[in-house]
Amino acid sequence: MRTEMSDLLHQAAQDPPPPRYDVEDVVRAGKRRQRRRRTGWAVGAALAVAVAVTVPQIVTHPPRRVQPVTPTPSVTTAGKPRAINFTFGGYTTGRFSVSTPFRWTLAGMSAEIRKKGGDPASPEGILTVYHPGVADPIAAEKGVKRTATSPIGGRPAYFGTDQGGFPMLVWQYAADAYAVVAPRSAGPGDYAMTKAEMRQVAAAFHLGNATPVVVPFRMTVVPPGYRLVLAQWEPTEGLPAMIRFLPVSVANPRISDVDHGPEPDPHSAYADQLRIEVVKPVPGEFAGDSSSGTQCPEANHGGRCYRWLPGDKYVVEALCRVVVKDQLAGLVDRIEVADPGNRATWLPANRAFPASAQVGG
Amino acid sequence: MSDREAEFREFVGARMEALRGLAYLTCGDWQVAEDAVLSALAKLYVRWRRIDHPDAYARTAVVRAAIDETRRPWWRREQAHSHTALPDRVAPDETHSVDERLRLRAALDRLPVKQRAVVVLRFLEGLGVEQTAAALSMPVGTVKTYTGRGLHALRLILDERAEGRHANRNV
Repeated sequence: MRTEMSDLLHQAAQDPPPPRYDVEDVVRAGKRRQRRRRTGWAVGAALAVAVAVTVPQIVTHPPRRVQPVTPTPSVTTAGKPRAINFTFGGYTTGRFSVSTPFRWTLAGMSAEIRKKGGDPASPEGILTVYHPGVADPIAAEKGVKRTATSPIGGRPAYFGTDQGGFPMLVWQYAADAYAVVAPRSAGPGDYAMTKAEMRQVAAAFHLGNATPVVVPFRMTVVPPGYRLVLAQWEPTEGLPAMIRFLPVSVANPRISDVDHGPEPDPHSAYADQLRIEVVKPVPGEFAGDSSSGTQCPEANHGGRCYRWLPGDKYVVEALCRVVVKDQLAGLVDRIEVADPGNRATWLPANRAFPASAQVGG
Repeated sequence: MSDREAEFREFVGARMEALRGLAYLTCGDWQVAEDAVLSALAKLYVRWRRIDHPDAYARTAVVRAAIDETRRPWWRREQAHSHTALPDRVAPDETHSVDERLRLRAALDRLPVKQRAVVVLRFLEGLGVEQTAAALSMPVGTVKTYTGRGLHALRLILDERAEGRHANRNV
């Protein structure tokens, strides 16, 4: 039956219609996805375009190894780390619901916008709420056209449109504090939310009680000179948690987006980022199992170490091009992981990282 | 173009057609299958440098994406219409191979999507029980059950259709 069934299945897949997509379409879709992960749509395509043009410049030679960084136990400095909290929660307005935030950065917080009866596989848009004091993230972007719209909550608002026509609604939700609604886009002119719907979501936004941002692991050591800039989870992407650290020189709370993606411009300071991810792997993604210990593949110039967690369901991985292999492996060895599948076991970010690795610490 | 992107393009060029067939047999619609492949390969692009076994990753991602596509509300609406339009029995074709192909496609279409995915991974892709379980995030016992049920159902449907074809030919 096996051979017969195998033959039948191969036969059943014969004679396909002409393909609608080719390799170019796949690469374009991949780059779009990379940009979306990088920007969360929220800082607009203007930034996304600026980032996209750097993609072809990805290095084809081994990345430089700057001075070796030795993970040493961090010492709490005199300053008190800034509180790592979400300052709003989920809410509904009409057919739309806004999730509790899934991403915290030095610049702001992001949440998904979904619609009753909408596509369960993809949100209708992203709401990004910038921390007070962070300058209007869109105003400084080149090529963004601004169209005035009536105030929201009595404060100024406008629609921004980038060179590709990608729309976003920007409004002031408090004194010196901005927020952005950006709809999902399936292509030029094809957006998941109308302007009226974007305004509806914005008008219903309100700050709430501060709740700690939680992460599914604890790090007792972080390479000196690095600061936490991002914590997020993407349960639908098989990525329960992703944390990014940047060198202190670029860990700036005023930058509009601190997530520069898996392949940042190799000539920028962001390329030295340290990422810690807890992944629910797809078969084939990681070799070995929980008995294999920490592994650091040499392929693609290395720069990554990982280990399977007990139960072989999750992997914890560290990626950084400037921390040498043995030290990156040691860092992975020392990460204490909670149950990634049970948020009740996760730790407040302020307690999960050494104070010296937090801004203000 | 970077080495990384060149490698990715080469992989997609070599594997896209086979992945399209895999997705099609999982979801039963060429258009939806192509969307699933595009979505899965776009994810692969983002993680390309970090994948130890791209073939296995792509296969799993494509099957999962094809299953996800069938869960969308519009899919259920479309299927509701298309099922009512489907003939209860596929009319025999002049060409035997085309006839066989249509019969199996129609038979697969009657299996629940996860059962279909198990049969496709096991018999089209040649995966073992444990590999299939890992790919679909389901227990090994469920894979064994779905394999048995799926094969039994396909056998019944194909036998039923063969009988119908003989009956038609004898008229």
